[in-house]
Amino acid sequence: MRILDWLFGQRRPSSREIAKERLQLVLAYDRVKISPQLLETLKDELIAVISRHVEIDREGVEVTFTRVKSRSRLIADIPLLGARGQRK
Amino acid sequence: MASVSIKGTKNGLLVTLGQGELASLLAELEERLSGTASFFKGGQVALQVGQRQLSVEEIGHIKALLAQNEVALETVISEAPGTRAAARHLGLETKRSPRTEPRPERRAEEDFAEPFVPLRAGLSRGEFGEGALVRCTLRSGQVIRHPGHVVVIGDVNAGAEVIAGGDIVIWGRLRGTVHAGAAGDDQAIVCALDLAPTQLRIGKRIARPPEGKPRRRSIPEIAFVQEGRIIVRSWKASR
Amino acid sequence: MAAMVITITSGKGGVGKTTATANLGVALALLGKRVVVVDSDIGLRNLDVAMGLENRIVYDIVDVTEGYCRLRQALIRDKRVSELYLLPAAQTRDKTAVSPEDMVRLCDQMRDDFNFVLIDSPAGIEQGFRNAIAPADEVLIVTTPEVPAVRDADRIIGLIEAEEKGPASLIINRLKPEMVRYGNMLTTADVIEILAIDLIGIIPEDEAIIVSMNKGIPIALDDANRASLAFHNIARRLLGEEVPFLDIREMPNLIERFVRFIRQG
Repeated sequence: MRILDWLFGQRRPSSREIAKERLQLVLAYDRVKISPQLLETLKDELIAVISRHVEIDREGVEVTFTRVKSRSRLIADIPLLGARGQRK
Repeated sequence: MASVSIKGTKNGLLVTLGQGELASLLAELEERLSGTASFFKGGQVALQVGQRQLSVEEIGHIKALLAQNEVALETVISEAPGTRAAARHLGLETKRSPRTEPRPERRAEEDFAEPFVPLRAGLSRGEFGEGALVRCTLRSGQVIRHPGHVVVIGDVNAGAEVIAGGDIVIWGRLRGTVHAGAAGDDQAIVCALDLAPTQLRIGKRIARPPEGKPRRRSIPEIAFVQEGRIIVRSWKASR
Repeated sequence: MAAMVITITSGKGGVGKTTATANLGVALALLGKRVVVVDSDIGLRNLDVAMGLENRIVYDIVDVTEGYCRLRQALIRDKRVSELYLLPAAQTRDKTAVSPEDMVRLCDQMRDDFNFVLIDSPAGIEQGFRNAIAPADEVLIVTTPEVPAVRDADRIIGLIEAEEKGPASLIINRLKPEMVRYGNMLTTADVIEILAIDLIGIIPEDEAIIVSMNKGIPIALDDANRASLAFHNIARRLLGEEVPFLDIREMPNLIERFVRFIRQG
């Protein structure tokens, strides 16, 4: 059955993906001194602010850092479930 | 500055006559011998005169002078063919002097861009102080510099250096770099229980172990300069 | 002749700076360039061992900067490749024996006689590193596809940008195609994306490199080895040639593609 699990099962993140995520987190702190805690706080506050206006998938929110040509960027990926105003 | 030097060697005394008038050199020699007569008594002498031209009479005179002090002239070492011929006439052995200056084109190895001139130790000849005894293993990056003789009881690892004005004795494994006679003294020796240095220098000479030949045996060995080259012999064979 | 001074650095230790320096030196010399490789890791020299020249050292970089000998006396010529020289570090001194100004002066002395001066930097970001990058016209940063090495590389890139040194480009060393294929190692693309820096070479993991280090014969002297080819390609890129990157198979094989297809399905 394990083969079937492997074939069809939920994909677990590979060590490559984990490595990449951890690196991005660690570098975010190294580069602009933003700690993982601060990142969590940012995420929570962004969720709080945005969810006042639109319905979002709270579990799916991701706040990450990237760097493009020596400039650091904060990227928030916030999946929407549909705007509240429109439903009413 | 002494222009007469007397050194003890394996085969007896080596008397070297430097620059200057023969008469005054002989006076100096006589004085030095009589001052320490009992010490030299019964020894054999090799006389080194470099380029100096000596006649049969002059050599005979020196021989007599040495005999008065109870040492026997056996060998005359000279660059001058006339001097050697005169010595042979008196039934003495003759030799050419070993080279003391390195030839610029033929160094120990061709890979040094310029000839090796020992100057790192900041020592001058004849400045041999007391011997130094080091009782530990010298590790990479550690260096012992001493104007006299150095005895290490322990290993000298690769990357460690021992630089001595005199002889170097390693009671252990020698893997690092050593420089005996660092002020330019080719008479200095290096010996070790296991002699496998990265590089070995004596006076102005440099030797490296032969490439591509891993050592199998580890026996006590001694390194010294002979005819301008560093020679390594087993301790047993050299005795 | 006006030499280009290239510093090879990494931040983290053990990622292959010395191996890269020795092999790029060999590769550039084999391309007919006059090259000197400089070990700036004073107190922990290793480039001499990587090149198999450790038993030929008489004078070192500190003897030169302190005036005990002339530069030419300290340069050791490699016998296997013509026009390749080593300037060894001192083993019995520490980093403070040489200053960044000394390094700049020393490299300026060599610029006229060589095409390339390659400086092997020590690990870390302290004085040894500062010494190594002071004279650099270009910087090569070596990393492995691992979290600590990439993190340190990022720090180094930041420092080099702050010093306005560079351009800096990246060598990814010890890439294991197998592990990349199975998703167990950062890919070249991941590293480049994270570091946002130009790539100049990818060196595949190869046991032959360890063997060559053991013997003191740089792998770049072996023309039938993939890692060697990778170093030769970097050398050619340094000379301005456009050389495609080696096909280090990061692509999944057929079965893996099939599995992915089903999962996505």
